[in-house]
Amino acid sequence: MSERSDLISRLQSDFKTRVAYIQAKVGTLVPSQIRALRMGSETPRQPDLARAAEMHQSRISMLETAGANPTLGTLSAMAAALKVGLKVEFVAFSEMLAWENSFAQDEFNVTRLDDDTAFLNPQFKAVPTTRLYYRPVPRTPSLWRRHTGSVSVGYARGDFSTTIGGNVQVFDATLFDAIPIPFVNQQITTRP
Amino acid sequence: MNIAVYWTFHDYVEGGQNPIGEWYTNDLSDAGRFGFDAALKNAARTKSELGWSGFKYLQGEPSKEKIWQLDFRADGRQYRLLGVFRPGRQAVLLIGCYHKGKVYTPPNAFDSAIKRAKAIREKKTGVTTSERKIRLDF
Repeated sequence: MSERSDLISRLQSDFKTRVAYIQAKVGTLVPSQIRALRMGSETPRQPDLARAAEMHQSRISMLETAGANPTLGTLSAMAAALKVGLKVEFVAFSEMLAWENSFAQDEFNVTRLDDDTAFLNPQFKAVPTTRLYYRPVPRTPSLWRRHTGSVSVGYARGDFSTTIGGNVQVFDATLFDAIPIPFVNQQITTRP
Repeated sequence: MNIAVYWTFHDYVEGGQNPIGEWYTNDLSDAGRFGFDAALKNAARTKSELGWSGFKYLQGEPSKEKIWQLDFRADGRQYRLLGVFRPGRQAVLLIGCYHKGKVYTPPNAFDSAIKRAKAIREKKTGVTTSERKIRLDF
């Protein structure tokens, strides 16, 4: 029996194996999300997050370690300190695996409450996510495009890439204001 | 969406024996194995090792060999993988252990890690590595 079919068989028949499997995925990806959000925040040091979450720094460190097992209350406190929302959802195993396989800490980011126009300004209607990519070219404003709606913006240059989230009416100039100086000389292109 | 994979993980192998593979198969529970796999899968896609959850370079004697640790919890235990880097974003796992406070199982984990790191650095005869496949199908 292959390793995979053996695992599937045990997942189907054994409750504890299922618990362990689920816990490993959630226990790795949730700490990784917390770490990504902290490092992508304006105050990326653990003591700052600890202060905002009214927790000891050692607890933040523990919450960022794979296998952490925080309560919903603790997760809510982390989300509140990071100024993001939290969604806990039961899904199919296949969906959980797809979530794990598509997750990249370096690209994970979430719109913070202060920038969450769709929440702060409900009359603004969110549209499906659009992914934008940048490539380094001379700054040519005539080529800039205007995007309106709920957007997830990715930018990449050389060996560096990350994602910043947004749910705002985006003008290119605004966008440039939101990204580091080295990225200003870039053209926005939309990849289908 | 294609996720960039930056790192490969390799098991330390000496005289044909793979102590990491044996630890994984014989000593870890299901929870430990799942935690181990998930930690490596996530780390492989995180470009800077300093961004890995539970990562830090060791101080003291192991620092001479630039040994690092990668922690994960499973089964109510704090597991620790000790490893070294090689060029080309290769992470070599030297030993796996768990600890409660300062009590490690196996107790000689750090000494073994130092010995194995040296053996790799000095290209000791019979010492090699075996790439650990990161699976996407479970």
